Amino acid sequence: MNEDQTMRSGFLKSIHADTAIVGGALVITSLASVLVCFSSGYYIERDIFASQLSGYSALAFLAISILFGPLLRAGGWLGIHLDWKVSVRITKNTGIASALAALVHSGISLAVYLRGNWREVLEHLYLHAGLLALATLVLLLGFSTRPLMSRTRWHLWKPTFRLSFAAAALVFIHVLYAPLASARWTVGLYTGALVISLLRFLPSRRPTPPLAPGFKVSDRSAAAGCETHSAK
Amino acid sequence: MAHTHSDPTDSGEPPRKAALSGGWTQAVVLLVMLLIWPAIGAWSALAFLGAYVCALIIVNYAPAWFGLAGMTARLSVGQRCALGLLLATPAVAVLVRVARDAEPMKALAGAQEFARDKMELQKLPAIFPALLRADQPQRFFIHSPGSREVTVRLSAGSAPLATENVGHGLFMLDFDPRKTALNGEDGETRQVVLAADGVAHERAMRLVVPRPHPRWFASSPSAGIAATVSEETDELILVHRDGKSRRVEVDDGPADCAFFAGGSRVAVCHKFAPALCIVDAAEGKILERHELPRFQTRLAASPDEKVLAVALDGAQRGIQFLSLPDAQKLSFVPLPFSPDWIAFGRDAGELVVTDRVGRKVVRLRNKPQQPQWTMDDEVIELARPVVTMCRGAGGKQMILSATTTELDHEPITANHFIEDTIHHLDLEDWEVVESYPTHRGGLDQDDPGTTEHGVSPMSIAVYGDGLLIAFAGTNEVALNTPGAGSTLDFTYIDDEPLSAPHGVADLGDDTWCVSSPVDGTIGIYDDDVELLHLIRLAPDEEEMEEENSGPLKRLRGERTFYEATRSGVSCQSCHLHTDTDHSQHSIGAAELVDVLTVHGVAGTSPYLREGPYAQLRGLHKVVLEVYRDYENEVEWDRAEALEHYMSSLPPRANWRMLEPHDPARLRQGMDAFVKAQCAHCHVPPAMTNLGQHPAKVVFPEYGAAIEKEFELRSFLDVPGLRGISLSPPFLHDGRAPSLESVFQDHNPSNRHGDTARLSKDEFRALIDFLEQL
Repeated sequence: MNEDQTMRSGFLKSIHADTAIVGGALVITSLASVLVCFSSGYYIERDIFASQLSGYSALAFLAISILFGPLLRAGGWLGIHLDWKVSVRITKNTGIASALAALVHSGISLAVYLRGNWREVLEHLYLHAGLLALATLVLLLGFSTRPLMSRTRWHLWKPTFRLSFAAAALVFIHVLYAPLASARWTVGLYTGALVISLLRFLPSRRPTPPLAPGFKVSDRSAAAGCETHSAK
Repeated sequence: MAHTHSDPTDSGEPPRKAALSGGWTQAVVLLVMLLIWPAIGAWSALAFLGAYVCALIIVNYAPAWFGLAGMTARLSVGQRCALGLLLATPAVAVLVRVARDAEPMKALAGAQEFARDKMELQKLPAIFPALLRADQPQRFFIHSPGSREVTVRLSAGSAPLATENVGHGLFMLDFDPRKTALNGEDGETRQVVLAADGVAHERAMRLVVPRPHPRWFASSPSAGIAATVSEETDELILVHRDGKSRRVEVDDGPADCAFFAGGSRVAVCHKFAPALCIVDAAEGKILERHELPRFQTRLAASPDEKVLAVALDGAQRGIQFLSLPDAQKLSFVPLPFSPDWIAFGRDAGELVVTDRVGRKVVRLRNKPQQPQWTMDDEVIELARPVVTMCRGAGGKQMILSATTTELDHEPITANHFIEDTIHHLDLEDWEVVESYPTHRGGLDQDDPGTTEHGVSPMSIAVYGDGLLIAFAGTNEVALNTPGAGSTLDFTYIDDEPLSAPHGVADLGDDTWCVSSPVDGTIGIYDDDVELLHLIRLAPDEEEMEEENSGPLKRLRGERTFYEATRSGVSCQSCHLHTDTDHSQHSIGAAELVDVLTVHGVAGTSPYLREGPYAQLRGLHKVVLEVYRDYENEVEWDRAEALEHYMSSLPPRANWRMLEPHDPARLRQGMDAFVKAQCAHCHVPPAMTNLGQHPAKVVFPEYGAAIEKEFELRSFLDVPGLRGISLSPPFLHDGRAPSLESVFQDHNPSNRHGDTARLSKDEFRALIDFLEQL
């Protein structure tokens, strides 16, 4: 095994299973969406299916990203605990996947359904909402890069990422008014998401981590509230 | 992305506490956003995002900037709750203020209505329309994919009704309330049971039991009697000049009546019953029934009372002539259009017929030397259809009204143009010899150009040597005396419950009568316009207020529908008799558009061509913004009333549902509908998915043309296809005169349905199917 192979092998080994699953799901749905565009069939059937596949996958990734924390909080009460590093990774990766899938969705919709008439996007409420949601997600995608993350720091980075909730609300408007989307499915999903979001207010039930040097006991409750804090 | 967590190791510093912990921060952000969003006052997605960003900054960053970062951490739970309440109070206060402000709330409520309608139609099995009318046959469609059999039970205790499987999960139910009684209170919402393969599903439907609606009269002045029919309550109403009246129950859907035998007999034709009734006017009894095809729409008795003409719509469109008084069939004259108004001219050998869709007046003649009736080649063309027509004194002229003075067939391009006009058509010369607009200003106007008189002439009758004209828009009657030209002597009759008068007739002996379908009343007046008698056929408003507010709102909505705005336009002006005038109008946009029917729109939010209004009540904005509101103020909410009225109108009764049809052909049509991919957008059962598509996507050539010519980029609302065959011309601007033309001439890119893949027979089956809707 030469050096390159060793490096590649090391890189692959460094990819966690959950990251691989999220990345794989993103690649598969994106590829499938693009391939559908080249299939035969009547335009409205083909184009809408391609748009829906990419759009719904973006929505699914966003839902997981937002709801993973509250679900984990409820899991704690049921005795299910997950390493915080894993939970942070899943949340972050699904968020990134959501933005990328949204980009794929936008590209496909613009290319096949709107036939390149980009100005049509400015003409209708549901496309306005979709465009703003995309802009928000792309902004957050930028903030997810390592240089920006280290620059923004935790106390600025976290509230900034609450924009994902605004993006979710805009996506709701977008899907609700989209001509070929299911209103029942959308309203059901968001109602469920709202209920799950309330789990965020449950007190945390996670195993007590060892205290970090210089970390006070009084800080633990706040750290538990944020879920992500642990001693180094 | 979109995560509320991060790897603190990435930042290279120990985690720090947020100003407020966890989910509470989010809650506070939302509260502050609720405060900011209404304050912005714009209900757009951009305003929403802007409000959220502002709230985010205020809650998360402002404390740090102002040195308050640690403040909340020092607060107890009680203090935090108090802080939350403090923040919530102004937010709630602002929301309450917004709730009182109509416009933003309409936008929010509209989204709710849109979501509700869409969800109702996607809740399978779904039925459309969700409206039960107790007065007329209705065709319902049920969408239940995967089911083999669907039955419908419309009321508790009644037997389930079998539906016809059209294929692809679509089922059809032709319902006749005369066969299955719909007991219940007007306006109630009832749970209807749809059983799909034996599994019961409840769906809410609203019951509408209409009040009597007396409309146009036939009269015999020499006998001092007039008659009118109420299609809604299946009645013939006889009115004597002495104030006596009689209500006679006739067959289903009486459409018109005519006197003969010196005013002692009345012929009554029906829409839904295959019979013509002869009624004894004195006794109020049905003497004879004569079999005729359904959808008899108008009657006219010849001046010598020897011939009766019956206008027939339906499978055989034309005029059936009958001899009088024995009502034996004479000849049948087929017509290439659906006859609307008919009246005999100078004698029993001349019949004038109007064509609403084609906007023209034609003449049939039966000359002594000719054995058959023939249609004259010369046709009077109008820019708008005839609203009402009557035979002038002596029969030398026909008096007709239309919403324009223009006498050519070209669409009027003037913006929101309505000019109610009386035309005098001379039968000798077969040309319009006199035309005069009826719109007048008045001495009460508070704005320049306010129209106070003469809106929506709905009925014209010969009165002595002159004419009596009833105006539904301005609640008045006008007298036009011979030689006075266009001078009209207007008299308001709205001191009495006679709003939106539809019918007017001479009762002889210097008396006349007027009908109000909205109020269910008939008034008898003398020559000085003093009310002699008021005949009530329905409860008055006070009684209704005590009983049930729904029907009262509907009544007020119907009144509003006909009421004139300051600009002299009413809903009725274009939506002729709640339907369409089949004409193209300029309504502010550069391109002309055709008029949509008001029937069957309930439950299909959003409304209008591009779907700008999520609520029917939102259409009232058009009145306020374009037509300068109504002249008279009322205590009730006109918008709400209009919504109640419009949502009580089912899709127009299609004559085809009363005729035998071939189930196999219908299934073939549904197959073609699905094969051509129509069902993607025109989703059963309402045949719309309530969505909007860019014009350029569905009609690329047309979209490109309007963008180039008018710099327009429009989204087109997917229209419901119920009753589509009854409202030509087609497509949103009326550029397709027939259903075939929609696909053959206006679908070159094959993107408005994949009709290119259909065989000729499949295409024909598709058209047949669309006609059955």
